[in-house]
Amino acid sequence: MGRKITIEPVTRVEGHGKVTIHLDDKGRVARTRFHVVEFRGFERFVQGRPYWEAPVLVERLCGICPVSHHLAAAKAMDIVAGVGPDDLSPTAEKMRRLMHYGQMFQSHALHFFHLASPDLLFGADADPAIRNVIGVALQYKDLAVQGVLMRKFGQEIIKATAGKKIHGTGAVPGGINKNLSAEERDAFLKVPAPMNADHMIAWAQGAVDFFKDYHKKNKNLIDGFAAFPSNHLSLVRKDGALDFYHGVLRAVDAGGRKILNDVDYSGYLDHIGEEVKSWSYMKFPYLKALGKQDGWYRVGPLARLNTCDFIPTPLAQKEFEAFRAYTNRKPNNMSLHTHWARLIETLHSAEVIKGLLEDPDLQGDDLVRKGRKRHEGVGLVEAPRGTLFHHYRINDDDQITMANLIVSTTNNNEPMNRAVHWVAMNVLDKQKEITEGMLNRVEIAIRAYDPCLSCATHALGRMPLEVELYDGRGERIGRKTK
Amino acid sequence: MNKRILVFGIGNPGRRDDGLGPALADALTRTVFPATVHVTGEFRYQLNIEDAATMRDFDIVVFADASVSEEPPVTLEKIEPADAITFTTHALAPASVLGLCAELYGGVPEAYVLAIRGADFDLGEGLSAQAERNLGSALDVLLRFLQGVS
Repeated sequence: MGRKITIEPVTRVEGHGKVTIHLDDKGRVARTRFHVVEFRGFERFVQGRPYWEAPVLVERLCGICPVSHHLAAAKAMDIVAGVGPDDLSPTAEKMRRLMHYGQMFQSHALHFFHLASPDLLFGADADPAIRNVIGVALQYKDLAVQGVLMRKFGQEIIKATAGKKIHGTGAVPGGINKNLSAEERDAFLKVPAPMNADHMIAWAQGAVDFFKDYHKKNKNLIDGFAAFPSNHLSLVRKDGALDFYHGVLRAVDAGGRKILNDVDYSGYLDHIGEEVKSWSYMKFPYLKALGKQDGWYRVGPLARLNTCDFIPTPLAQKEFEAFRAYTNRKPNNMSLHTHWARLIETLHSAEVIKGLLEDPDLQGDDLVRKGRKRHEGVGLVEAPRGTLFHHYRINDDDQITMANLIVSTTNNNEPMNRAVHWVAMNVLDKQKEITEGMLNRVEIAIRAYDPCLSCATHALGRMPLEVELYDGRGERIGRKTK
Repeated sequence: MNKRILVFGIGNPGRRDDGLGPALADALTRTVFPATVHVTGEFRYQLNIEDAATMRDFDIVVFADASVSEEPPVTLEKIEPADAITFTTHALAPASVLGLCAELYGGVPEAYVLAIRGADFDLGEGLSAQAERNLGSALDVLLRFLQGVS
C-alpha cells in the first residue's frame, strides 16, 4: 500500500505550508502537492472600508513584506483618486521608490543570509540543529553579522520613508505624507561604516561574489537541482529595464519568446486567469494566451532577470551580463539560480538606494496631487517574491466594494509544486528509506522561491511542526512534532 | 544607575487578540514607571534576526505576546538563550533571538516572556472583552516586576 509523507510547515519560510508526497506500494512517487493551510479571507475583510484606508489595511497581510502591499494598494488608490502613475510629484514617486528598494534590500538579505545560506554552507544532509541561522552565527560569524546589519539598514530606510518599520503610513492616495529631511538622508550617507549606503553596496557585491564562488564549487547541484522549463512574468520599465516599482507587464516562455509584450497592467484580467483546485486554498494563476495547462509561470528574481533587457545600475548590470551569458542570453530555468538572481537584485537595490538618497527631490514639499475620482484602480509592483497585483472597486460612498489580490507566492504556486515534484521524482523515488536530508531537499526547492504563505497569528503555542506519514488507505502510520 | 528595559509587544493587530502584545506596548506609553527603570516599548509584528542587534543595548528584555494556552491568563517567565533550534522567520522564538544575540555579540540581557492569554484570533481589529481584562492584569504583573528591579 502507498505512503503519504507530509512535511508541515516548510521550515525557515514565512507562514504555514504543507508538503504531501504520495508513494505507491513500490515506493514510487505517485503524486506530490504543496498546500497552504491558512485561509485568509482578507479580500472580504477590506470590503466596506473607505478606500483611503486600503494602503494601511493591506499591510496586515504580511509582517515580512508589508511595504509591497502598502505600495501596490497605494498605486491602485492613486487611480481611484484620479492620479495616474505619471502624475505623482517627483518627491512622492522617489520617496515611494526609496521605501520599496529599501524593502527589497532587507527582504533579499534576510532570505539569503538566514534562510538559504544555512543550506548552502552546511549542505542538505547536515544536522538540522545547526542548519539554521544560529549555526551560521556559530561558524560563519562575519556572514551572520552582515546579514543582520544589511537587514537593519533596509529596515531603517523603510522607517525613514514610511514612518515605521512595520505597517508604516508613508504612501497615501495621490502621493506621500512625508519627505526625507536632510538629516534623515545624512543618517544613511554620511555615517561611518558599516551602516552607510556605500558599505551596503560593498557587502552586496561581496554576497554576489560569495555565490559565484560557491556555484563554481557546486555546479552540478546548483545547475541541476529542480531545473525545469517554465514561462516567466514580471513588470519591466517601458525601455525594458529592471524596475521593481512600476512598468509594463512582460512574459516570456522558456525559450525567450514573448507571450505578453509589454502590456498595460490595468488590463491584467484580459491576460491572467486564476484556477481554483479542490486541494488548496491558494489559486493557480495562468496566462490566458496559453491556457490553464500550459499557462503557468514563474515570478520573482529569476523571472525578472529573464524578462528584463538590462539593469540600470552599473555594478548590477555587470553581474547581470555574466548571469545572462551563463545561459547564452536565453532564459535561465534553474531554480537554485534564483539565489544568484536575488543577490544581483540586492546589489541593484543598494545602488538605487544610494542614487535616490543623493537626489534633492526627496527634500521637496510637493507631496500629494489630486484628480477626478474614479471607481476602480489596479496597482502592481514587483515585491521581493514576485509580481503583486492589487485591484479594487469602490462605490459612490468611497467604500471598497471589491478587492482582488494576486500575491507573489500565489503566482509561484505551480512552479513550487513542480519543484517539489522534481525533488520527489529525483530524490525520493524508489527509495527504501526516507531520510531527513531527502526531506530537506524538498524544502530547499521551495525556499528558492522565498514563499510568503501569509503570516497570520503569532501567538505563543501556535505553529507546531508536524510531519505525517500515511499509508495508501489514508491511515496515519507515523507522526513527528517539533 | 537606571536599568534599561526593552519590552517587545509582539503580534498582529489585524487578528483580534493576537494584538495583545502590541496593545501592551502601546499601553506602556501611558504608564508611569518607577524611577529606577527606563522603559522602551517596541511593537513587533513578529520577531526577526535584527532584534538580536536591538536588544544588546538593554539590561532586561521582556517579550510580550498573546498566548493560546489554557491557564493562567498571564504568566511572566525567565528564559535562556536557545542552543540551536530550527529557524522560521514566521515564528522566530524569543529564545532563538537571544541565542543569536549571544553568538553574535557575546552576551545577552536578562530575558522574560510575558504571555497574555487571548480568546479570539479571527480576522478583525480590537481585543475581545476577556483579552482586555487580561491585558490589564498583564500590565499589573509587569509593573510589580519592574518595581522589584534595582
